[in-house]
Amino acid sequence: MKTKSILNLIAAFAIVWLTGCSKSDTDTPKAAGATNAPAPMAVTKTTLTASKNIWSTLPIVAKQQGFFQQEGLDVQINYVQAAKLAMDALVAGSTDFANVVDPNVAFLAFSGNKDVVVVGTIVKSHDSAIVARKSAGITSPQDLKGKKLGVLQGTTSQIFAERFLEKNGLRYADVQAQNLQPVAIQTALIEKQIDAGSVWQPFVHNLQKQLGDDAVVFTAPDAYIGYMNVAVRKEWVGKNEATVAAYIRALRKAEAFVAKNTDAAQALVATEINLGPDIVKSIWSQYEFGLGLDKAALLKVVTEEGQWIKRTQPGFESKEVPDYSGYFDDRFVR
Amino acid sequence: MSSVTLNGVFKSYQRAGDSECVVLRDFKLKLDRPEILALVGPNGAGKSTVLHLIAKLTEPERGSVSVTTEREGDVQVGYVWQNYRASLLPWLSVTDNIAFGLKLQGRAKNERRKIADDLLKRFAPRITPAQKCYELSGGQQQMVSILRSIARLPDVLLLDEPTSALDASARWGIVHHLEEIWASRPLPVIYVCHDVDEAVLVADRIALLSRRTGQVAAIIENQCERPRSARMLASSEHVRCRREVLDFLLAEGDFENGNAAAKKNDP
Amino acid sequence: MRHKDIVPRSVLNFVGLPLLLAVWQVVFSLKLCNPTLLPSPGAALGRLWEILVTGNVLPDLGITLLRMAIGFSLAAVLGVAAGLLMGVYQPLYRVLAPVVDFFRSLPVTACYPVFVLLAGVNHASKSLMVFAAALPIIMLNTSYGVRGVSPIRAQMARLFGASTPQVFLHVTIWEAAPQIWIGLRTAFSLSLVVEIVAEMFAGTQFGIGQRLFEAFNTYRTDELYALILLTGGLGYMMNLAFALTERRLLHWSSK
Repeated sequence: MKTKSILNLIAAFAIVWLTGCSKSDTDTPKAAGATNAPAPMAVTKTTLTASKNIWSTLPIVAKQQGFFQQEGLDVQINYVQAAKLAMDALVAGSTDFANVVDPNVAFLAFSGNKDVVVVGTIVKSHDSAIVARKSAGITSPQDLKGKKLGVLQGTTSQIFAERFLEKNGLRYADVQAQNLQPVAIQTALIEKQIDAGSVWQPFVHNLQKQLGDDAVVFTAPDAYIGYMNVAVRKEWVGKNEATVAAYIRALRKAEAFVAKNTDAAQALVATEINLGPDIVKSIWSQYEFGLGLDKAALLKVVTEEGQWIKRTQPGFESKEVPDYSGYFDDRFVR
Repeated sequence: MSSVTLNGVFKSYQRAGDSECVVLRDFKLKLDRPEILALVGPNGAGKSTVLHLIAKLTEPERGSVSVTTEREGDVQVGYVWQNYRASLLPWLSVTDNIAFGLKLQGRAKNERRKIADDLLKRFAPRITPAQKCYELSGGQQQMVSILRSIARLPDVLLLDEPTSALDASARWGIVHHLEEIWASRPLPVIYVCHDVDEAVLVADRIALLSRRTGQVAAIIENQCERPRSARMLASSEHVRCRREVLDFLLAEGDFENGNAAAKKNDP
Repeated sequence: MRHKDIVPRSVLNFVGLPLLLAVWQVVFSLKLCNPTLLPSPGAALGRLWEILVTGNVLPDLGITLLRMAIGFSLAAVLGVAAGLLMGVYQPLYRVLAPVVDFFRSLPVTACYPVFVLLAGVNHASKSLMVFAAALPIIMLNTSYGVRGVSPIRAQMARLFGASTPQVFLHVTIWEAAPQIWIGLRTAFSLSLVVEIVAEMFAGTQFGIGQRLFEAFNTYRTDELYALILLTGGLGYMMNLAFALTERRLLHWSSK
């Protein structure tokens, strides 16, 4: 009897949820005195899967400020822990749009999947940094030699660390790299188990706060630029060009809003991603929020990453670096 | 010679809801010779309580319970539970179960195993010593339990409904084996039992416990000669004793504990 | 008329896994899941064979099992001892049982910073996480085992003159053993999961969890599923070892 009641309850919820989901456009209330107004634009439902961080600023603003709605889109944003999971959702067909970073594309191509295409870049990030402890005897980049450096292998953490060390006359082999997730790098650094860590925001900010005067932050904005990109499936974009165009137009409006209303943008992003407004404010300048697609630049970046993968990542030594040219389509942003 | 004496014993239990239930009230009972005394009475008359008192598993509120022996050393009490499965040790073999009490006494392994195996050979030759108890039938398990209880040569043997959990044929098997065991070494035995025929067959005396008074209402002497066997169920002495027990039980008002089938056939 | 088995019972034991692989192959062949995310069983099995035969998975496997074994062994020793005490002393049980039950449900990996504080960022903290996950299960099951001892058996032992320590040694421990074993077996399975998840959550140089994360992150799905099969196979074999040991050492349980 108890099982039956539970099943009935679940069925009731399902019915309510489904009827809610399939609410028709005609349920939208009309403005008073608008009886002779033209019929409202048909709304296209679509999904975006994105990581819940500052990199997703443009679509967050587009949704919150109604720009998607203005373009006739009802965008449901699904948040995931990492961009890699957004790429997986895209490949699996469970999302229409995905926010992915360049290493995701670089790795994906090795699997032979040619169905994913990047149609725009929404932010260029310079938020990578190496945070070190002065108490470990580190005050300059060269002091990193022989020290324990927390790095997350196979990600921008490693890419940035390698490039940063190179720029400062060191090799990756000169440090004692310890493979750790960013959460663990943060803890280990605070607990003085390691001497430095290659991380991104908000871990850099957290560490600065926790370590206080003991923290020294090394940045190299040119060493590594992270690109957050809008990706779709090729076979899907072929049938939904209007939707993609509308999506890009909405992001364009968001870009303009962010440029003109920085404070408001910061506030609403801070609320959405559940990060302190003061933190968002302090790290904002490390990001270039803008919609575009520099095909040549991105192709160079991703190809270099492909070569890096082949060179450094276990299991890729015998693989050929893919041809990445088919992974970018700039017609929507031109 | 050993003896068991209960004198002026009062014993009560807490019932659910905090009310007290007096089970034994100024209870008196004495066994001072090798005999089998059956305890019969309705539910709640205190039969198992009497056994627990003798075995020192519980203490009386008033009165005295004593078990004495003329031989040197501590008094040894043998006990056989109704729930043989719960009292045997399934991780031990049959031999080691029978020898368990001897192990606690500190006897050497070979010695105690020999005693156990000899008992098995003598009274239950069909049971393999190396078997595990759970591999045996109910009747065989109860036999192991009985042999365990006598392995230490107890001064008194207490059996708490030893056949209640057994089927009919196993039950009479136990009664027969008990007869053999007692004949080999007579000792004071108290035998709690619900089945009237069984109680009368095994016992030299049958003590009738009254739930209303919390005392022994009467003691019936059974003059049937030993060794007893199931053939004696129809003898006049057996029938006489049985009738007296049944009359008592009916008077106590607990009909279900009488032997209903026997009463139907009773002229 | 006696019903005859359509398939002999002994054969049924070996049908499950091939059936699963067959379903997997069907899913792959019908492209019900994108091949970028799910390889064919052949590719996964092939990769599994490769990493086993070349031995290149051994350092990772070794480290994972070693860290897990250390954490579990400590939990087993302390857990059984503490559980026995809890089972014997009612006041101790009343005080500890709710606390232990509370910790049993905690996601151990989320408390990672505490473990790093206590045991550093490397091996010890992972073994400590395994220990923390396994201990409550072993403690509680051991105490249940002791508390579930038949009062008649304890009575019997006392009647035969057993002192309290003798009742404990000759009856309590043995009777509680099957339940203790259940706790150990459950905790052991959990230990493998916690160790692997801890490696994935925290990151490490070597370890099956780390390799899983890397394979996942880099779209090497043949490696990913090879490792998943390896982990599943490991878990199965460990459980089998427990079951066989139980059958031999604790032959009376469930009788």
